[in-house]
Amino acid sequence: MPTQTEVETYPKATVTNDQMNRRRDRYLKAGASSCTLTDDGTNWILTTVWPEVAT
Amino acid sequence: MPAGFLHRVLPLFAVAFLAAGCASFTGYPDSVVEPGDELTQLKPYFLPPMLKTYDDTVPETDRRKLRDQIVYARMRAYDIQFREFEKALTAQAGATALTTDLLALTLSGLSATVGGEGAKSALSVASGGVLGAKGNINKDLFYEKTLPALFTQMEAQRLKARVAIETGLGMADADYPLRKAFIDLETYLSAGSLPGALSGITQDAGTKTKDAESEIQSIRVSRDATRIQGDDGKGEASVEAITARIDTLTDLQAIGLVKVMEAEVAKLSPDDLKLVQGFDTTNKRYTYGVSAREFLRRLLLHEDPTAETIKRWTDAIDNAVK
Repeated sequence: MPTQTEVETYPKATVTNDQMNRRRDRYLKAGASSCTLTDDGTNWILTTVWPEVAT
Repeated sequence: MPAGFLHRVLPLFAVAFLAAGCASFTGYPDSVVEPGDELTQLKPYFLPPMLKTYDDTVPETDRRKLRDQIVYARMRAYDIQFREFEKALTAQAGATALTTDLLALTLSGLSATVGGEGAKSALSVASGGVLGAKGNINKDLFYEKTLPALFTQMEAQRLKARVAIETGLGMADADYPLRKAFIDLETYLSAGSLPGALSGITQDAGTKTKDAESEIQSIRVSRDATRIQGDDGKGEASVEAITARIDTLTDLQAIGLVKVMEAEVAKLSPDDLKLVQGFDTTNKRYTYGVSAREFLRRLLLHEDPTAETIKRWTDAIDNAVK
């Protein structure tokens, strides 16, 4: 099955860790195969792998 | 019982069984109203005077009502014809399989009970012949395997064509005039035909090839989003509530809502729409309810959970379930 990897970056200066965790939980609930939160010091990096929608 | 008598009578049994089978094994309940009677009643909607009445009708609201009547009448006629067509094909397949089974069983039973070696032998030969004939018929993959697949394909294509029509009927007459609806009706009609189903299967095969190719590499989307800054957690409960409502939509409602919300999101964030559309590269969301609902849930997640977003989704779902 084809997958899409979505990479979102958010500035740590204005976005909290709680907000990022909430977003990650929502993505996993909506069917993401994996969703990982990391950071590069300045930005949060949310990497999500989405499978094709089910049939 | 003389064997000569059986030799003369057996072909008559066979003909009687086969004829009876052709009439009864449709697998569908009888229609409450005779299909022909209903089609006769719908015929005026296919005739030129109705088109002229539509052209002459003012104001626009009345013309729209007439447009809807004509379109639904034609769809109903196509539905009746499709059911009859489906019944006829199923009856043909069912008659072939079941009557040969029954005839073979009857002949085997007789051969075990009648006296005289000549008669037994004649009945056994006849029974074997019937089963042999069935063996040949069962090799006909059209009835055994292909027909159910074609039915499934026809139903899926008809539903897809129906969604396009229903979406169009939600528009003003100026945006979706009757002649435009006729084009979609033509698609609806041909979706219920064997050539239409075969063509759909061929197209699907092509799509699956593309699908397999795209498995080799996944699409990588990078974006610097700022939307999360507005997500203070308050919108979360509303997003949950909308998600719960999406899950209760019927297949037709979900497929209809996909079209509406895709158009809405395209206006707000074409990039997000492109990303979300990538979740369904084979457009399953226009055919399958389960795909449509999952697509909607993901589409919702890729929007800002603001009060305006929540209202837009709530209103759209309200409209979809009306």
